[in-house]
Amino acid sequence: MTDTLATSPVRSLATLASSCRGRLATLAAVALLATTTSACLVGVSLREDARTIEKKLTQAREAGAYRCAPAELARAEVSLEFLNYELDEGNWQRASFYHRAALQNVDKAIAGTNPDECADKRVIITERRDRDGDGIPDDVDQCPDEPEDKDGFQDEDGCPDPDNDADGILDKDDRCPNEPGPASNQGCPVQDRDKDGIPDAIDKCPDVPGIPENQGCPDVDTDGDGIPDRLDKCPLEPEDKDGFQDDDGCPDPDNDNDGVLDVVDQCPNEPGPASNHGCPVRDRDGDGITDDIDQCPDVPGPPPTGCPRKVLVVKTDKQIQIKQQINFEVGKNKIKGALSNEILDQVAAVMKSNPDLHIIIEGHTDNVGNAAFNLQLSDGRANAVRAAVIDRGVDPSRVEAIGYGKTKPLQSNRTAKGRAANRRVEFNIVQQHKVDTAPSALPAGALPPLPPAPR
Amino acid sequence: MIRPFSTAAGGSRALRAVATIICAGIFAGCAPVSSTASVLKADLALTAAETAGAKQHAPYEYTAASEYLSKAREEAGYSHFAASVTFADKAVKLADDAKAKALAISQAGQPGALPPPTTTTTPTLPPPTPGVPR
Repeated sequence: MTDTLATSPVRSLATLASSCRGRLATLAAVALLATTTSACLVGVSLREDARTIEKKLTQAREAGAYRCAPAELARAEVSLEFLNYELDEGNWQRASFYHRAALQNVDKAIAGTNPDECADKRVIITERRDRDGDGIPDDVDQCPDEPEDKDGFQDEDGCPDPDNDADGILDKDDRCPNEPGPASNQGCPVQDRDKDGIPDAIDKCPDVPGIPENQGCPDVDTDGDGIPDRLDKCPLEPEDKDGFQDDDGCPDPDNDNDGVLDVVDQCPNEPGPASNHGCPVRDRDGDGITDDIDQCPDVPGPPPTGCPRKVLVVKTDKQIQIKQQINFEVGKNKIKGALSNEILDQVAAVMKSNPDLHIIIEGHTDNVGNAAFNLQLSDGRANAVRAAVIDRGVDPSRVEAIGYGKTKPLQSNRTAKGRAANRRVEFNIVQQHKVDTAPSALPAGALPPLPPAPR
Repeated sequence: MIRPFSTAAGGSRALRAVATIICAGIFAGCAPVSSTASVLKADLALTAAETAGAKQHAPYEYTAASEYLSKAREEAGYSHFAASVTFADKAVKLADDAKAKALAISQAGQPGALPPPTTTTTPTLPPPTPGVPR
């Protein structure tokens, strides 16, 4: 029992001691476990942060921190490397130091970098194609599939120019590729000093402009008539320029070859005898006898004189003069008698022989009887004669008629002879356009005086 | 039985052991020597870069080289010679790059100018050295 009592405290102490060692060990184990766990947690956290810092570094680099914050960028990158190194080594304390350093510097780098000013500029390089490989890009090459020949002539357009001077001779065969010239001269221009278009080699007058027809020599006009000798049939005689064959260069002194020189030929282009001043002889009355030998050129008549059996009218400058009077029925307008008709035939013939002749037929009376009646009678008879002339084929526009009554007597009405002379019909010429150059057709010999007209 | 060469054989083993210990000591002593040499070389290279104007013309490379050199010194202080050598070598390379870049910019007549923006990629640090041997 005593032993028991004596040993109990020892046991208790031993138990207590034993118990305390166990607690310390437990505490140590717990502390060790806590420390280990804490270190692991710190390490995991730092590795997470390292990845975040790495992303920030990438961002800073892309923003251009290398240019604008190079020192901070370098420190941040180096610190991150050291952080990872220390984590691998298990040095949490030093890792934390580099963690802070990396974080601070990467933030500074980002803050000090303006991407608009610092980032690398992107340069877009567009590839310009050149299919024909002539060094001129297709977008400006006018011939993208044909290479430029690069001969110093229009080399910018990209098109080949096989014949620069367009003279039809390819440049490779052209001794003067930029100057047009004939093939006969190997593509070189032909010398032409006088610029007359005729090469000097065949120009007989190389220094004086001329014409091909003259082998390059100028035209010569020896006779000075304006027609060059090469075209002048008479180079030594000047053309007379009279409107007749003026292009042959030869003078024509007698155009109509009638033997009358033009200088004295009144009709130089119509042949005619010298007796008619070189003019052709006419036959106005168409009786087959030319006027130069027709004694009655205005009135048809048989040869040899050309006059009718009875010559009853004569044309003068002022009138168609009738040799006998036209007879009328008494107090009336009706023409009577064969002689009257014969006179009218010859008056009509004269009118036809002279187409330009215009006449006025005048009727006159003596002073016997009523004046008004006489005036009316004379007017009526004049118109009757006009109608008769027109009936014979004379154009009405060429013939007028008027009655004067007793107002224009030729002689005194006191005598019978005078009154007979006053009773008359006259054919007065008022217009004669064409002056007949032919000799007067007056018949030969004097005409007898007019007989008194029967009433 | 007497082994005529027993004493000599025993001496030979002792001699080998001594030689081994000496060699181990020599090799163990070479590590800090090598580390110190690398740090000195890096220090010289950084000084040369600074003289060439790298602090101004190649700040990225110069700063990185400077940081590597500090780390090399730190690791040498912890007797982590291998890591020290590795970081020192990186410092040398970056210092040389910084010097070359600074010289190039100076010769181009662009004093004080930062490198122009280009399409080329910006320089980066040498790859990290995981598991640097101690």
